[in-house]
Amino acid sequence: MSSVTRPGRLLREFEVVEQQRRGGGYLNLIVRAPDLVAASSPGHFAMLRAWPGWDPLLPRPFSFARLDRDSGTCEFLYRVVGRGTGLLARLEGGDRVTVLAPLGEPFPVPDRGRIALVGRGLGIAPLIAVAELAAARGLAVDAYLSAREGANVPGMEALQPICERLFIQSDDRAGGPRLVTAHLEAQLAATRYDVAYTCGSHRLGRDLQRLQAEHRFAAYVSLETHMACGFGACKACVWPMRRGGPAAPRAASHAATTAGGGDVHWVRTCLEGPVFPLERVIYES
Amino acid sequence: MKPDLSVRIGPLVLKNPVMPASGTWGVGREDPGLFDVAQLGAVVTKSLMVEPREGNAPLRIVETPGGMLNSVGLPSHGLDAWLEEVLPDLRALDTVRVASVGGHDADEFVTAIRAIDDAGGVDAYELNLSCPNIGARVLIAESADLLTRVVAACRRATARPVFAKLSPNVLHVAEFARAAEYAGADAVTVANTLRSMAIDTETRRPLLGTIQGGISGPAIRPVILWKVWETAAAVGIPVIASGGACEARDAVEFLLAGASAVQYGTINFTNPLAMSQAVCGLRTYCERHGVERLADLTGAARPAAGRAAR
Repeated sequence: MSSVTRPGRLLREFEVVEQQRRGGGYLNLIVRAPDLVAASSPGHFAMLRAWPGWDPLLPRPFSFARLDRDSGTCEFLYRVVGRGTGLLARLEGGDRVTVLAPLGEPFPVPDRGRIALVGRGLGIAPLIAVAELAAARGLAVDAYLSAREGANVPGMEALQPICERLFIQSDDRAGGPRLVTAHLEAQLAATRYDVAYTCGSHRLGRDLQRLQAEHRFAAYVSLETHMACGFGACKACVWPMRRGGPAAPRAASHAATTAGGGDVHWVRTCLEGPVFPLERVIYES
Repeated sequence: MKPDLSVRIGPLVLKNPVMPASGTWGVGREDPGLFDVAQLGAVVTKSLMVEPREGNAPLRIVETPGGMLNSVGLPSHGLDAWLEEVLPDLRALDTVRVASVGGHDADEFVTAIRAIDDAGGVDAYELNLSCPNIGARVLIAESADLLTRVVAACRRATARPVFAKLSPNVLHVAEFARAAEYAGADAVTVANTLRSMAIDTETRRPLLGTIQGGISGPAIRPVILWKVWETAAAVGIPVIASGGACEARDAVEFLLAGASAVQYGTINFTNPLAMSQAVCGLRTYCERHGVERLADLTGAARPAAGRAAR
């Protein structure tokens, strides 16, 4: 009996199309991988390696920022934070990168309605893929983004043509509310969202949990954690969760379920996530 | 020439010496789904504990040059959940199925083994003896007395082969291997992870919550290789090498030192195709060197007197 349980998952070398260097220290790695792109959805992530030998030992995890089926390319938005990302930053068009993907469980995206994206800095990356899929399905997309510098908001070029409403909160702008969720809160007085999506900033995630509880919309978060393997074997990537309802509700049309009876357990973000119903996530340490 | 890659561990015949180290490979939906594990000589599950346990809070893993430190803390859903959720997937595998069992004392090991024996579908047990012993501030595998008692109790509890996984954090692994052999183990696994730590120079605090953790990966292979060599000289039962194997040539190295089989662990996190590639690589090695039976390499680097038939 075959033990293969993940059709579409690959571990292979792919060709780098381009490494784009953007303002604010952000990099965008574009990889040609038509098979992979066809098998992947927003919310999936990949483990990348682009160096020989065993040092650094481990691959690095990156969410798909864009999945372009027409060109067969995928994009990873990141910045250099250590040795692994430093080595990936040296890649140029024509170089090879080893990719293990698709990994994790993707974002549920409904067939109709209006969605809100809430993210800060590189947390916006996986939300770009959500926006493009939602727009292709004819949904209305509003985005609430924050960044250190107003001039360098990751994903702006991709999101601007797609979003009906686009709110930017940058640290380098004087005055105004400090959390971009304040804009969302104001909009919620007039607008109903079917689903909200977030990634990255815990402050935004916590504030979105508050808004979700008050206004009762479905919400999903993609959690960023330290990972070693990315496929469930090493158990490094656990996050504390409240036990969800029966098989965490995936249908975006569900109203948000209330948190379970306070029963907390460690969950592998790579295997059961990285996308989780927002109300299950425990942000306090 | 089609080389024979099969190896014997006690009464078991494995189609090749390659298997995962406990805790580095899952079955069922935890299998990464890149190749059929029926290609491997055996599958070893992550250690199960009788009582459910959550394991340690993050940070659980720290990368180090050529290796990693882990302090995962033996998370387990418990025996009942294991029988219900893991065993069906394990039973269905078309290769030798080894259940890794942990416990705080002999009773816990025996409880698990008896329950699994009753359920059926497992071919052998690997005893994770690097568990803290209730009452005594010592790991079972680091006390010859405790190790002997636990292995002997497990031996009485089942007719299936029992592999004792030893700790390398002792002065002479060979002594503990002899104790395991005397207590009735069919093989010894050399070895679990080495005790280690790391400190964050910015926060000036240990990186792992438990301060110390186990180091694994290619960085430790020369250490484990010596322990395999030492152990193979001391016991008549097969030695299963575990520690830092990455490629096929590492399996050859361990076999030459006296091992009968080789576990691939940490490398699976870097390259989840490593074990499948190792099996192919072993075939290529045998063809290239005219080796008809891979098992003939066991102990072949040793002086003639040390090469006991296994």
